[in-house]
Amino acid sequence: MNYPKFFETAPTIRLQDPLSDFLGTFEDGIVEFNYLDIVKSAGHSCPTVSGAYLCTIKALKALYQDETPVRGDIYVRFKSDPLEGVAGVIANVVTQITGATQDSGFKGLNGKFARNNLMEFNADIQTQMEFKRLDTGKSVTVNYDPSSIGGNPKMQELMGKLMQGVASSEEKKEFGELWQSRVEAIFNNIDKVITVS
Amino acid sequence: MILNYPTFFKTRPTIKLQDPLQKFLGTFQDGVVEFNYLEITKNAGHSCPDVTGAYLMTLRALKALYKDKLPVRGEIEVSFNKDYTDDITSVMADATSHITGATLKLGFRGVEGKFSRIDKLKFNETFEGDIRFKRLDNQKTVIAQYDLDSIPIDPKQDILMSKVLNGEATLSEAIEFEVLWQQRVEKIFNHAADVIKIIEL
Repeated sequence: MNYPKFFETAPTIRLQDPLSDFLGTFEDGIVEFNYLDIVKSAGHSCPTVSGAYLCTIKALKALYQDETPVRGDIYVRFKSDPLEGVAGVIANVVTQITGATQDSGFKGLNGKFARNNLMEFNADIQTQMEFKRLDTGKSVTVNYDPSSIGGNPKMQELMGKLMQGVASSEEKKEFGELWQSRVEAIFNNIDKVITVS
Repeated sequence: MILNYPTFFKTRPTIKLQDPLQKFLGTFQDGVVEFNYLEITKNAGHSCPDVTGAYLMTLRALKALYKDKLPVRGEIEVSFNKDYTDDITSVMADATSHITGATLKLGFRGVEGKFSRIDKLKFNETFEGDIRFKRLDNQKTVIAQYDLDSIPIDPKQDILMSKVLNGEATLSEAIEFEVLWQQRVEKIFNHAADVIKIIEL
């Protein structure tokens, strides 16, 4: 698979998954996700996917500091409705990393290892997302705003051409490159676009 | 970092698809994307007969639907005959969603009517079998059936499992359980042709 080079230098996230440990899937349940994993599943790399990825990494870092975050032990709340705009895309990214689902996912064994009922939408919160550790009750809120990372003005014009089916193959390629360079710029400005409190 | 997992994960067939959205947004050259069993288990949080079954059914069904062509992500409808709140159904649905891109309601909603990934995972549908796959470009449909009767569970596995769950297992018993569990998964992979039937409609 050929993909933009910055995927390889994007931060990765390591977690401990007790279910994986219990069923002999990963030694000690240690599992790691990278941006490529997320992009493949999402079907694309865009400011929404990269934002959700980076918000999750930053939130878990704030919640767990030097400890390894525990998959299935993290509760995530979203301010938005799941059917609104890109809420579903964001939720899927968060699910892939934390294991948390609303009503899908593994339902548990003897009350352990459940992955459902760990995600909530239309939450009464002031920020876009809130991540909570279920073991300690500690929570952090997260906001993502990439508006300071402007895209190349040419992108809009090329996208219109692509959608109408009138773009040349060079224009298609140029659009893809411009699109991904904005995503890369977001990765290079993590602290500017994400606020964790 | 190197993850430690059963060695058979590495030798399982992978699933290659073409994703038009990836191509459009310049993510993968030509939109070609490949999934392996390890990625599916990372997302599922475990490797088990349900995850394996979903993986193998998807692999075999896409082969039957597309033959020598690359399956197209986002152009495949995946149906189950139970509700998405059913445990096995939701675990299988998540695995097939990961590979095909099909989602119920949480997914990309498209750009000007193109590339949508929602409303492509269906539940409570009426059909005999485990998972139904339909190509949305030509309506060609197959049903995958998964039957594990020929791969019995080692009786020791169940005894050890309850010991582990009750916190009464020694470390060696917990490890023995893990090994037995993954050995059965490996056996399923090795007998894919016996446990999975694809019915072309």
